[in-house]
Amino acid sequence: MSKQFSSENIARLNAEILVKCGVDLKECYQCGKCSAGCSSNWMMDYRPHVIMRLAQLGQRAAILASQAIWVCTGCEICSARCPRGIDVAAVVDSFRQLAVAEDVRYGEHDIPLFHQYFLKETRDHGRVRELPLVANFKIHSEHPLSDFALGPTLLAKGKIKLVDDAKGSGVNDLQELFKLKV
Amino acid sequence: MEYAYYPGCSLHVMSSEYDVSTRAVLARLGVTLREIPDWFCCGASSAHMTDAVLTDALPAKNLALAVKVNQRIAVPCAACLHRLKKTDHKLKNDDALLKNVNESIKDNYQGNAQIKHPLEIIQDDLKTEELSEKITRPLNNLKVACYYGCLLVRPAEAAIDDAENPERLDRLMNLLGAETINWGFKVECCGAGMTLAHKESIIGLAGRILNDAILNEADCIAVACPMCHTNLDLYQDQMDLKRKVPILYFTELLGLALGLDYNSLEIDKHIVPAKGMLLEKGLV
Repeated sequence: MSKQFSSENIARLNAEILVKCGVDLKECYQCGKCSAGCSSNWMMDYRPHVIMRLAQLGQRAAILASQAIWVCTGCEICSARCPRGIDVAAVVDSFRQLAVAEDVRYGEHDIPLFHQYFLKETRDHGRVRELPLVANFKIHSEHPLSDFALGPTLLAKGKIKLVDDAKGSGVNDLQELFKLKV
Repeated sequence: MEYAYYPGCSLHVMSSEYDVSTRAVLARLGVTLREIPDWFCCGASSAHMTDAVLTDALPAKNLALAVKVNQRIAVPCAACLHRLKKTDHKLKNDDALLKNVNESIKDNYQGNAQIKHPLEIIQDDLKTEELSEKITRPLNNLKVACYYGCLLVRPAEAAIDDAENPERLDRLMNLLGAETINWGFKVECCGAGMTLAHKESIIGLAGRILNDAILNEADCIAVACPMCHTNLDLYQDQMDLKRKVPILYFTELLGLALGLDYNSLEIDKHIVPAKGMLLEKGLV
């Protein structure tokens, strides 16, 4: 077997996931029920059971660079329906968290970027203010002008506010926990 | 009956009509809500998808602040409810984690919160007869598709109902006099936090939910989550639909049935207008 599938790589990733989210990857017998129910299976480069198989085989880099881990909405259908009781969604979360911590080149541009600006709002204001979030995210996204025309409607309906001085001061004690890149 | 109230960011501006209607119906039913003064964002999807520490720290700190107001906490947003309950479940069952998290949040949460969705408060704390006595405008002739989405029903430790065939909303709507439809998309995902981040997800996922509701001739969809509401309501113009479907919070329908004033419920804040349909049904 090639070095890529070495028993060291396999053992190392299995141990890492077990520590991170308590899932024993060996439990998965590849029935594919997670992928059958997955909300976002139609958009994914690797569907959930493929992620699980790649993980069993120690293919860490391929998963971290995948687009699938980002388009997963976190609906948890995969975990709820797994006949082996595996929390597949927690495995996907673990890989997303590793991709962020290790600053890999993401397989998706906008979604991880959105999460950064969302948490920036949380860190800096305690409460997420819609307009600054939309503005910051859109400027840096791959589709800066999409749905620009929705802006006036949302303002008129009061769905976004021009000035929002919301402050959730409970977040003040947690400042040093945020490791954001923005 | 009194609860600490955690509205969450969505209810602060974007979905303030859900906040308004939740407060109004609970007040009408004799439940007092006391807003947690320094509450902040639970981290929603963005924390657990990117950072293991924030995943539990943000909900835990909010729980610590909440129990200072009341151990019973009301959380109308399904996403906030899901995050708070998942973290709470972990902390209640892992003393070492509780100690670690308390150090990181500089607080002393004891794992003593009881977290409830308003639907549970209405159905479990109040007697059915008490509620039915207060109905002054039954929702007769209204066909409702009850949509539960993901985060109210999964996983078991955070769920308020069955994961595959939940019935809480249907029971409430039936009690109010509405007919509820049988359909296939009660617990399918609407796209959750992808509203801005990945519109393709919403167009596809919310679109198929709306199409099934239309196929089953629903007058409207009832929801109990601000993210579900936004995803189903916001982009209908851009979807391939036979007609538009008004999306209503269950608290708005309950408010109408309880005889609350239409304007006070701020239903006109929705993108897809509901007023025409409600007028036609004699509910305004």
